[in-house]
Amino acid sequence: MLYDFDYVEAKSLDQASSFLSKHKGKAKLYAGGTDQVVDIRFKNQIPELIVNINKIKGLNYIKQENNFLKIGTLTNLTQIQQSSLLQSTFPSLIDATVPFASFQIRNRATIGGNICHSTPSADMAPPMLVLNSSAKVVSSEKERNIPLNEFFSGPNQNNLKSDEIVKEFILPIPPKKSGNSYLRHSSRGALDIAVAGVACYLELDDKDNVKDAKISLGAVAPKPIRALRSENILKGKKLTSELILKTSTMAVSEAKPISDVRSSLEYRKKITGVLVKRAINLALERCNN
Amino acid sequence: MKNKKINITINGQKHESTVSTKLLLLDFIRENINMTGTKWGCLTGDCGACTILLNGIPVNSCIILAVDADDSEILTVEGLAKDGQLSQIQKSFIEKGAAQCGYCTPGFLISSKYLLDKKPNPTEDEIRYQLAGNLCRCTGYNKIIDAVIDASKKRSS
Repeated sequence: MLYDFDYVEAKSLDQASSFLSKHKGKAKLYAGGTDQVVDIRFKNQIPELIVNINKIKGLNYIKQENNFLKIGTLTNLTQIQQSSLLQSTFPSLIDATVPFASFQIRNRATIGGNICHSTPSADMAPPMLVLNSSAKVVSSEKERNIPLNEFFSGPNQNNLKSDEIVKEFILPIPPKKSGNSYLRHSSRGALDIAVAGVACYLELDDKDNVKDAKISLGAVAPKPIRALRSENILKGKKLTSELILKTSTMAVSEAKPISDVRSSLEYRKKITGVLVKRAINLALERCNN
Repeated sequence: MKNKKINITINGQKHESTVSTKLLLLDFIRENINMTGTKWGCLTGDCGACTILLNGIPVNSCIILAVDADDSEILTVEGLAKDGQLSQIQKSFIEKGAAQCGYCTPGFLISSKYLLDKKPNPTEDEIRYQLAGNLCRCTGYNKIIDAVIDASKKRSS
């Protein structure tokens, strides 16, 4: 038996939002439960009210609309992993699901939950950052879009207002000569949290010079971050192993990790450099396929 | 609300009851229905001892609220044997010595059943990936993998 909280099942996001608004930051959403139930039991984060949004219909989809891909907030990680729509254009999202927890967890954990729980190590965050995605956010008052690059604000913190709920994620379809990747390191291959994670997006021009580059880092800063100075090193250049090495060195300096139970600060820096190199190379490989 | 009436079908049998909205699905199965094959383990979704099929999909019942499983169908380890006959995966676990203390076995059986239903001839890598959410502290896993491979051969022959 869990601790004392009240419970409601929302019939719509509108209704869920008005519950959140009534309880002013003391209500929590429940969807897959994989973070929420654990937080209640072991972290003693007991909300006044649990708002179950799991039964709201029509929030579980991966679909293309014009030049955008839309992922419903209740889409689970297994559905992302098995999506043929994502396979060719958004492989970094699938990369992120592969080492993610376990099959049982992936069957319940939602993309909305992973992003909104906003842990610095959230595996879905780095690919979402380099893919230029945004979150469509609703409340009973209004709707707005938050670019993922402005979404996270600190460890387990984001810029959602207390009555706002992410309805879906919107990702522009990347151009043909582009590739994206995500690689992470953890001590165990499964059921482990990233020591560091790196996502890369590359776009090449007709002469195979880098037209656009994005790199993001997970688990090595208070929130998932973009490595902007590293990206700038790549832009407009021909990709050589020296350039990639220079970029990875810069990314290591942009990482601001801490030492914790999973890794020392020094090791996090070291592994970030390695992952940046590999993620660039994997994205490059995918540009050419 | 603090209590809610739920309808859950477990191993083909309907159960209607009013439960606390704080009750975990695992506790509902063990305490309310008295089916203790599904185990309490870590209670964080890490060990897989509480694995059940919820509407045909493997999940950790220790991190799901019972009320969230209203109107669903559940398969637990008790539902694997039919008419007093063990299923092939259970026979293979016995034959290959895949259980030592046996505490993780119900979870492994459920995960393995799902895997073999979806993919009758999985490779060893596929088995290891798919069963990564079930932890065993006794066997070193090899005998469990052997049992799944054995069951896959015997089910398809």
